[in-house]
Amino acid sequence: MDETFPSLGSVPVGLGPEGLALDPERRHGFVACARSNSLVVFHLDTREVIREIPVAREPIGLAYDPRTRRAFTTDARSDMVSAVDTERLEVIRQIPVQHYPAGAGIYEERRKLYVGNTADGTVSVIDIDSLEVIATVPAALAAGSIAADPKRDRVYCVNFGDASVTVIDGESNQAIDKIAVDYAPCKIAIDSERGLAYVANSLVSTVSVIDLEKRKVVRTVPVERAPVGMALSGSGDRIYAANRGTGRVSVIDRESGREWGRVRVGQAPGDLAVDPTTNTVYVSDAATSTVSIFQDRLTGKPRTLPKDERHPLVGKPLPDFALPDMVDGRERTSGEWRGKNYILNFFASW
Amino acid sequence: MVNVWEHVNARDEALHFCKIHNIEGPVLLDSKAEYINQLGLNGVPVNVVVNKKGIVQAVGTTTPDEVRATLTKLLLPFGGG
Repeated sequence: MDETFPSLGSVPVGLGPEGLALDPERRHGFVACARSNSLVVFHLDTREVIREIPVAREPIGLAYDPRTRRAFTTDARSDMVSAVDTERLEVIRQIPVQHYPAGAGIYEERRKLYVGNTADGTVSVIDIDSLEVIATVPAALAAGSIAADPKRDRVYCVNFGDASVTVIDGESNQAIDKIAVDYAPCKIAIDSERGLAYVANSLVSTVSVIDLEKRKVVRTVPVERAPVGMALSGSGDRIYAANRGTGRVSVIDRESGREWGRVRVGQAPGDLAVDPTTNTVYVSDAATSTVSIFQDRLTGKPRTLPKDERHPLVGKPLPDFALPDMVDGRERTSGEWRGKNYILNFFASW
Repeated sequence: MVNVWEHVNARDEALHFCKIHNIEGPVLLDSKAEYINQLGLNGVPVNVVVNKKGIVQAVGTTTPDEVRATLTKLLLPFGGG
């Protein structure tokens, strides 16, 4: 048992869970299940599913408004946002947006929901109370994850296909600037008080730290393979990156900008959400269709820092395989590649 | 390429993914993740680099720099074991 980051178990949810949000006061968790086309509501203490609510096709992004207790899923393949009343546990409105919406963020103070339309490179702005689209803002290729910065009255949208972050003015809904980050940024988390943003760059396995006053990357932190999730501890002193390529969460110390820990969670973690009072971290896992939970009890710099270890397969013969071909179902075996140098790439469509 | 952890309509999802990303070459299906689990791998994407003798040279290596470095080593005369 890991004393520093003890596991608190996991909750089996729907298939292919992605976007995750919590209401720590009500002790509820919400997760968009992309392959079950549903929003799953679970209890943070009993870790039991309260209800699975059908939404439209392929919900990926998720945002939660504590004031109205509404959860919003971005249903990518339906070009729609589903607004769910989490007390009545039902969908109250489906709002058409642009193509393949894959990320969402709430600006509570301005009562606005922002949705990144990946296929159009735009951001739809929705009034949380009237549930109407009030603006569509041009961003860049594969706009997705979004977070608000109330202190500067700005909203930031990460553009996966453009290695950039679009800066949107909170009042006018105008794109006012663009910040360059690393390749394939997937997710953004904001520390509005300190004026910092953290962006997970999936393809190059780094986290960009942005100074929000200067609108520039001030530090780049290497993490493990394919970070796609990003969240902060209650104090903002700890940054968590979910590494989809290794099945672990990197725990980063804000001050030193160093990776202080690695926590195994499921097999292909996606989104992260933190209960700030207890620093309990929830992680959706699309491979195992669960939400795994651990607590961060690290109090200072650990005695040993995480190290990259060589995988035990290196230097050994590759175990034989016999798998069906995607095109015609014909069995293909490792024997076909005998005597050749080759790369076996494992991927998933999500 | 091997498609893994595809919970619903594995073949259709893999075909769709390869079409929109212009992926060519053989794609195999490991929908229940039996093979990737046998290898003791977690997560996607992950590359397993194999040499002519069938020996695994590297695991991971998905960033452009890592791929370049590994392939250079593998393709050097007498390199790669």
